[in-house]
Amino acid sequence: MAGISIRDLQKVYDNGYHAVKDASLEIRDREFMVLVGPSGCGKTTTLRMIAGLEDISGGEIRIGERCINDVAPKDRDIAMVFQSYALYPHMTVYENMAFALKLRRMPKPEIHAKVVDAAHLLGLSTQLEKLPKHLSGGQRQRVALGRAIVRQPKAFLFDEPLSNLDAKLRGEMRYELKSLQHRLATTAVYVTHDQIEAMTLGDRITVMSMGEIQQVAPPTVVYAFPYNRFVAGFIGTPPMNFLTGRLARDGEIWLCELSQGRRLALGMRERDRLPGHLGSDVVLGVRPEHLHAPQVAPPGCTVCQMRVEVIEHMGDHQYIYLRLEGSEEAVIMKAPPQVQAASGDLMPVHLDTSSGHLFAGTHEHAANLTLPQDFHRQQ
Amino acid sequence: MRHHARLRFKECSKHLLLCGALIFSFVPFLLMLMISFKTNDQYTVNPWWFDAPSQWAWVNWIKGWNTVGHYIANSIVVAVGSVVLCLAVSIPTSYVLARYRFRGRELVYYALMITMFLPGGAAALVTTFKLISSMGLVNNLAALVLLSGIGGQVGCVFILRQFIEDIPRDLFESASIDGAGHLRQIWSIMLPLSGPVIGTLAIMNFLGAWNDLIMPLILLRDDTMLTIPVGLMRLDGEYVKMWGELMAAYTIASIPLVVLFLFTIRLFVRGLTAGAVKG
Repeated sequence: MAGISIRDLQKVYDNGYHAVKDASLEIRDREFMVLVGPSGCGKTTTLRMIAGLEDISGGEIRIGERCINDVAPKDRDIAMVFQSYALYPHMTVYENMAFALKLRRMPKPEIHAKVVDAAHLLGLSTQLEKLPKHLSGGQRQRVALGRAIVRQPKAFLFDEPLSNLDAKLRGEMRYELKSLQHRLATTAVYVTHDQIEAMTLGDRITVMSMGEIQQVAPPTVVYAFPYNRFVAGFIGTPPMNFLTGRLARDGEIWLCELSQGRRLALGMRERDRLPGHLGSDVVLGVRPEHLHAPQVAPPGCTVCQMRVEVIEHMGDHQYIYLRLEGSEEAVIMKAPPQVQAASGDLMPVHLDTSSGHLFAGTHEHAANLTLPQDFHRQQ
Repeated sequence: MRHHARLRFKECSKHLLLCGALIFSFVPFLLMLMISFKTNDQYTVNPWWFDAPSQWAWVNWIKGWNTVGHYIANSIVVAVGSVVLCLAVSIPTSYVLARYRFRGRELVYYALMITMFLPGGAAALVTTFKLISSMGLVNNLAALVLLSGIGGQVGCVFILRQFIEDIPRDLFESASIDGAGHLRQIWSIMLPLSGPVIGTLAIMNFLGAWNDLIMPLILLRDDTMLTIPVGLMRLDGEYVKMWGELMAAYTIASIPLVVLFLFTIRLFVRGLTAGAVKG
C-alpha cells in the first residue's frame, strides 16, 4: 500500500494543447480519491499519467517514496479498470483474471488460488469458464475489477468504470466498489464526470476544470464550501442557482443589487473580504434547498418575487423552476411536496442567503468571497 | 399477383445467371478431370464425356504423379516459406505503424505503400534477376521465398495496420499495465484477435507464391528445382501432346489448393468481410 504524490504535473500534447497545468495533489495511503470534472478537464489525462499510459511533460509523480516518471506501466505496481472494461475477448473470465499473474511467472497453484478467491469475492465463481461476450454488463465490470484485485497492487486506478452501466446497476456497483475498497484497504484513484459518483464514493474529491485543480476536499466540504463559482455550479444536483448583481451596503447590511433595483440582503457570516468588492459585479449563489416557498420558509430569509414556470414532482420533493420577474435569470427551488404552486403563479420566494455564497465576479472561476478565513483550496 | 410474378421472374433470372457463371467455372475443371482418364486415342474419339470406367487410363495419374510430385513439394516449400517470411515481417511492422506515434510514422507508411504502385513484374525483371544473381541465389528456392515474401508484405501491412487500429486501444494498454511487453502484446492480444485477417493474408500470399510463373521461370534451371507452374508448362511436349498425362498432372497439381481452400474457406470469408460491420 502507498500514497500517490503528484507535484506540478504538466501535460502538453504535440499539437500544443495544454491538458494538465501545474497539478499538485497528495493522495493518502488507502484513500479513495475521486477526480471529477467535465469532459476535457484533464482528469483522465492525469489518471493516464499516473498509470504510465501518457508521457509526463513536466512535474513529478511518486507512488510511495518512489518517483515513477520514467517507470514503465507494468513496473508501477498499479492496476487499472477501464471504462470499456478492456477484457480480452478471446480469453475466458479465468484467463482474463490470471493473465497478469501468468506474466509475472507466478506458480500455477498460486494463480489458481488468487483467481478463485477474487471470483468468490465478486460472485463470479460460476462464470469462470465463460467468455466476456457471454456476460452481462455488470458481470463484465466485476471481471474487470477481479483482474485488478488479483494483482494486489499498490493502487487501483479507475477510469469512469460505471459509465457503461444502466442507472440501477450503477447504483449497485457504486455500493460494491466502495465496500470492496474498504475491505481491500488499497489506495484508489477514480475518474468520473458524474458528480453523484464523486460525492458518494470519494473519501476526498478533486474537482478539475480546464486542466487545473479547482478544489480538493471531502465531498461534504466541497458541497458546503465551494472554492469558486465553477465548483459551486458543478457539484450538486440540480446545480446551485446564480443571480448576478452588484455588491452594495446599507449601514451594517450588505446587499446584492439585482436588475430593476431589486435588493437582496446578504446574511453570510464571513464578510471580511466583502469591503474590497463594494460596488463590483458579484454573483450570489444559493442552492435549490435554500430557496423556500412562503409557507415553509425559516425566519431570516430575503424575499424576492418570482414567476413559476415549470414544476417537476419527484415524489418526496418537487423542483419548482422560477424566473425573476422582468429578467432572464432563472432559478430552481427544491420544495416539499405539500407546497402548492402552478405554472404562471407569482411566488414570494424566500432566499436563505446565510447558507449562500458570494462570488467575486461573473467569470466561471470567480473566487468565493464568503469562505472562512483559514480555508484552503486543498484539504 | 403481378407483383409476385415479377419477383419470381427476378429470382429466376438471378439464379440462371449464377448457374451460368458456375458452369463457366466448373466445365473446364470437369474436362480436365475427364481427359485425365483418357489415352490420346480415347480423347480423339470422345473428347467431351467420360468413357466407361473399365476403360479409364489410371496409368495417366501414376505418370502424372511421378512427374509433378517433386514440383508440388518445391511449390509447398516456396509458398509456405513466403507466407512465413511475409507474416514475420509484416506483423511487427503493422503493429508498430498502428500502435505508436513517432515522428515520420506516416512517411514510413506511405513510403512503404508507394512500392505497391511500382510495376513489379516485367519492368523490374532485369534488375530483380541481377540482384538475385549477385546474391548467388539463382536456381535456388530461397530466392523465390525471398521475392514472394517481401513482395507480399506491403499489401499485408496495408490491410493489417487498418485492422490493428480497429482493435480497441484499451486492450493493449490494459495488457501493458498487466505486464506484457510488445512481443507479448502481439502474441497474446493482436494475433488472437486478428486471426481471420492474418489467415486471409496467409492464403492470398500462399496463392500468389503458388501461382507465380515468371520468377521461377527465369530463376530456376534444374528440373528438380521447378515449381508447379513452370513444371506444368514444361510438360506440354513439343511434338506429341500426351493429353491424359498432362491433365492428370494438372489435376494433381490443383489438389493442394483445393484442400487448402476447403479447410480455410470459413476463415477466408470472415477475413474478407472483416471490418465491414463493427461489433
